[in-house]
Amino acid sequence: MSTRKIGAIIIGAATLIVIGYSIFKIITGKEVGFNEVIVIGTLLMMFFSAITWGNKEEKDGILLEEELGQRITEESSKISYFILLFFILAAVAADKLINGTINVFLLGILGLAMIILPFVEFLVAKKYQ
Amino acid sequence: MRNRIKEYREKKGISQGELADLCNVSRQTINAIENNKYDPSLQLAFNLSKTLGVKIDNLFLSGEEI
Repeated sequence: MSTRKIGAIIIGAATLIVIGYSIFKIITGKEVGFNEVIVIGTLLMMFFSAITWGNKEEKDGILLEEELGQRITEESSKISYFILLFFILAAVAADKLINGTINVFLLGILGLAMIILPFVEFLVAKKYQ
Repeated sequence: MRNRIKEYREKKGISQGELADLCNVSRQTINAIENNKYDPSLQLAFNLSKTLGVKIDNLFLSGEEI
């Protein structure tokens, strides 16, 4: 079995343990917050990275540094940006519906998120003009 | 963009993995190109052409030739 697969299994198991522990905390009425979200997020990030990218030495899977890897990164970045934008918009709408208020910081992030892509595209395009 | 990489690779008697090693990419990249799921960059197209010893315009087919 390749290092990549072993790594993915270990990280996957660790993620399940942390998720299980967080669910246990919720059931027992303990507070679940920043630490759990960050740890689960980090472990899932490592897990998806491990199952996606290959290892050059073991010749196993697509490599991040080769051109197909770069193409995958570019495509997924754009898709991720729009998904994230949608989730921020949904969070602003949910806050308004549930609490009846608009979270100013979240609204600020939504506004910033909407202009970041066209602004960065403008800056990158300047390089080629 | 359609291509004849598989045809020329098999003529040369090398596997996808060997061609990938010679072009410094992964086997999955060669597989994706052969199955027309990915169009390679000009640099990789030249590498493939050089490695297989085939002219680039024989390796890649334009729309009219399909």
